[in-house]
Amino acid sequence: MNIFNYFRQSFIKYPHNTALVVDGSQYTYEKINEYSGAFSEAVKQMGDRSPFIGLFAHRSVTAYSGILGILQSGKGYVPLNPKFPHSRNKLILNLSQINTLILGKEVQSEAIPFLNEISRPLNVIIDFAKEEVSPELLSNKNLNFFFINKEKISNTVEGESTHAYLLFTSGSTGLPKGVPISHNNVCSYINYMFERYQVIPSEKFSQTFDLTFDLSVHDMFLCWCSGAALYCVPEKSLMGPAKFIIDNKLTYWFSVPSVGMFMNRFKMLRPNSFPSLKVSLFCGEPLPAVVAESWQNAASNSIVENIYGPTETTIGISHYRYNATTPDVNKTLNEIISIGKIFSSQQYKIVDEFDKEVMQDEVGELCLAGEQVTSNYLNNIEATKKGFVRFNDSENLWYKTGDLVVQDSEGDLFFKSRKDFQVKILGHRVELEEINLCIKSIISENTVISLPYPVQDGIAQGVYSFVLSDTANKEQEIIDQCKQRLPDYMVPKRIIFLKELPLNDNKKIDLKKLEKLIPTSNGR
Amino acid sequence: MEDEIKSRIINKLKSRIELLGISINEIDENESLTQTGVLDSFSFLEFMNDLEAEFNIEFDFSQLDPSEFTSIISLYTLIKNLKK
Repeated sequence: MNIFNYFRQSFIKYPHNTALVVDGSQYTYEKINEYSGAFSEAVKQMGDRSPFIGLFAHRSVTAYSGILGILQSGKGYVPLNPKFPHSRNKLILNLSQINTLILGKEVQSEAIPFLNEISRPLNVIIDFAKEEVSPELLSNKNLNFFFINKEKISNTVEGESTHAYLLFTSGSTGLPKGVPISHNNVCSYINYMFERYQVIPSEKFSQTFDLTFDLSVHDMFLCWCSGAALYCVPEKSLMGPAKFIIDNKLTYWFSVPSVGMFMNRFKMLRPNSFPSLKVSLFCGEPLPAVVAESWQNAASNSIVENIYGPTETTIGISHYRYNATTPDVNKTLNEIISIGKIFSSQQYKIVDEFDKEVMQDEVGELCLAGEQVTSNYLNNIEATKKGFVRFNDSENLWYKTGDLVVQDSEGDLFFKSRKDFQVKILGHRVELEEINLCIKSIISENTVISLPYPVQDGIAQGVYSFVLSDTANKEQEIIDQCKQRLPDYMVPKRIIFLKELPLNDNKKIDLKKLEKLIPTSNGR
Repeated sequence: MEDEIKSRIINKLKSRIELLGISINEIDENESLTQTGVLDSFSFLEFMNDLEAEFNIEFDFSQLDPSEFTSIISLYTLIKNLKK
């Protein structure tokens, strides 16, 4: 089923319900259905054969109705992000081979630099007046503008192409990997979650995640499949959303644990601060027990759950419900809450390095299969071969997560560590090697090592990079250049130059000793 | 007294943004540090941490929206009231 139909069915049942609150304005299902129809019609007029359409818009009605319109037209959407450096947006545009882009009025100035570097024709769909388009964009000969006619609205829902969206994650080869997710993948997730929470039309959902983060798909589609209202949290309130939750009486919350940690730090999690909340979910990085407990106290009428799931397995695939009445019985490992059980609708195995299943309490790699799990990376045979495998005894295609976990006697899982050098920064997957390669390409040094630092309550706050070098004077220049190429959460906070690296007994670089070399007098 | 608080805020900001290659002279004290892109939301919160240590105070945002205190002037007013 085309996931647009989740929205469409709610529109038919509840046309006058609020579907979206963004930028201080409210939009009914009827209104958003109209906007979506106008985008869908525009996409169809393009006659574009590519299965994907790009979307460059940020926390605006254009962003949300654009996504719906793309899906309604039968295509999949590829979100770009105005907070990314323009070289990365250009890279995503090229890797996904899209020919058509919906452009929001609010991000025109961020669009100019990378659209000016595109050397092929691109259709740009605009939902505002021609007079308001930046002259710099209008004079770009590669861009073919299409101005939406709000009278021309498509009502039909096209048969969907396979994929609903395409997202990019950090890749250890230096190039981001495209993860295509099908309509079936998303339906499997949404149906499971809808069944679990029994969402009713009067709910008010938070929308904190950027559209380049797949957890935003949960916000949009679990909300819209239920006839509920989606509240887009403005960028400026993201850092401390307490007031936003209270003022809007939100009932469903979903964010990375970092947000909860900062809110706790700044005393926004006073007992019973958020009586309106019924369901609070955290995903994207380890959930510290202290954050779960503080949130539970602040949202005393809410269930609190820790969700785990790689992008490849669609949004989330395991959950752990926090026990509010007796916090002491909650399962933790190193003060981090368990990631719980894999959804009963999906399959999992925990295997050793020879792909043999491990025993209970033994550490192994988590492998996942089922309707939520995608089957490949976009145009990347090598990464696909490595990540998606068939074990001898099974017909299933298994995604090897690279996450090392242990399982207790009740089937609850605990995240131990990564098999490789991937870390999570503010919920984003970061391959440290991608940062190392970026720095190596800026300076002519061969040895660069990046570490997540500082780590507070098990959550990494940023990255520090070490360079083996005799000279130590280009820190700022390197950081500036990294900013031009990497999303800000990947940019090292400091570059530390060392004349020699600390080694352990096996003559390998000793990461623990390396971390101790970080000067502590800075910053605080 | 007033000028002292403000110059201590500016000094703390200075050491943080110099790391980012931004000169303090480029900062307008009435403009939001987050909206002008000088600090992102998380480095802004780190900056608040710096200020708490500097003035030996604790911000309480259970009733306040931190996004309303993102300019030097608004931070100055907030800190001045806390120091009273």
